[in-house]
Amino acid sequence: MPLSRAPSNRLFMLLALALIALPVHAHTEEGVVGGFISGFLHPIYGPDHVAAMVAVGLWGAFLRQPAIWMLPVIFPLVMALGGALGVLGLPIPLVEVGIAASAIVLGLMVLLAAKPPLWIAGLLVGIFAIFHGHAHGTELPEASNPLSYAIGFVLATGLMHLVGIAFGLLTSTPRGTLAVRGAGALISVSGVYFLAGAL
Amino acid sequence: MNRSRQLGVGLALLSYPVLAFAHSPYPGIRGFYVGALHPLTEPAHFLMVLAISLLLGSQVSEARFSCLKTLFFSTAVGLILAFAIAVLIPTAILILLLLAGLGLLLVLPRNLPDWAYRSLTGASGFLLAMESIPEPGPFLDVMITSFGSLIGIHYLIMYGSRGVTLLMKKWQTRASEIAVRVLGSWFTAIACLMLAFTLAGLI
Repeated sequence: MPLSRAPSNRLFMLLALALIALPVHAHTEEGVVGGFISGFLHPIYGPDHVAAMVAVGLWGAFLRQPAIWMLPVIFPLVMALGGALGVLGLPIPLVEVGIAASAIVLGLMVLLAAKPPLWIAGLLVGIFAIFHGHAHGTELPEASNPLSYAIGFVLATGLMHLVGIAFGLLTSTPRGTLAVRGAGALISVSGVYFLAGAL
Repeated sequence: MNRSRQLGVGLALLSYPVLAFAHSPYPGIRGFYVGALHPLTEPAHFLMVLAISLLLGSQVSEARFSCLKTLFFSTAVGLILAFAIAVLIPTAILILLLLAGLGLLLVLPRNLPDWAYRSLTGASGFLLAMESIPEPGPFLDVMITSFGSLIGIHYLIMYGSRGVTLLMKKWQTRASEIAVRVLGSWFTAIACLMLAFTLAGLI
């Protein structure tokens, strides 16, 4: 019998691994780490945010260079401006409607494989990013460390774009294109659901 | 003893918790470490170090060396002046503004003259130094901590920029250029939000 399969060895290894001491993070809503985790999870726990941000990545992949990186660059930059407005208490009307509309429109763009001029795509993404940023800015948990919260949610946003781009790279094959356009349809339909909830 | 058992024993011994004896017998060395590691403990400072390292990393060796010389002197001047004028200057806000600007520079196609790179590096070192005033205490301790800050800021940016250069050389692809631009947009986004938090009195 190979050594690694011997029950005593496996038990021994398991015990050794179980002994490794790791820090316990039971209270995640306070301090620098808590702020980071809150900020990181905030966009991820919001399906409306996830839908729109993944759609940005998908659309960028459809539009190819330079949109594939330009849209995920524009989104966080403008989102931060929206976030700043939210933090400073400056109101923007119909934020939730804007977020739902972003999922509908960006999903449709992916579904239709729309290829407008880059500046139009950038403008569209930028306008929607303001709504997402404003929502993040106004919903800052009081107990969180604001600095690490900001880092967390910008990072999560970027990673979701990355997920969208990675999935969007499937467009190099006909079946992949179909799957990506299907995802666009799904995002658009979910946007309608979010809109119904917002109204 | 067979290999997996050796590994198991090794892991078990490594994970055995013991008290750490990290206090050096050399007086003042703790202050030096505190100063040297200070840029890593403040999120805005850390991001500034990263941003300036990315910016300098794209420079050729000679230009980078000249920027690093400027960095050293500006950091030293900043540390000396910090005791006198730090309270007069809103350094935290200036750091965030500079970080936002550095992020945008990373995003946009840049063809800056050497003096612009030197000015940006100098401003970064100066502002980081102004924000690194040690706690009041005996003169020697304060000096050692300040010296630690000088070394910390300088070495972090020196090794950071060199690391970026090496990485860019290794992965000379469009993807690495894009990664720098995306990181730049994140820096600007984070700096804008931090500015908003500061102005809203949340920090």
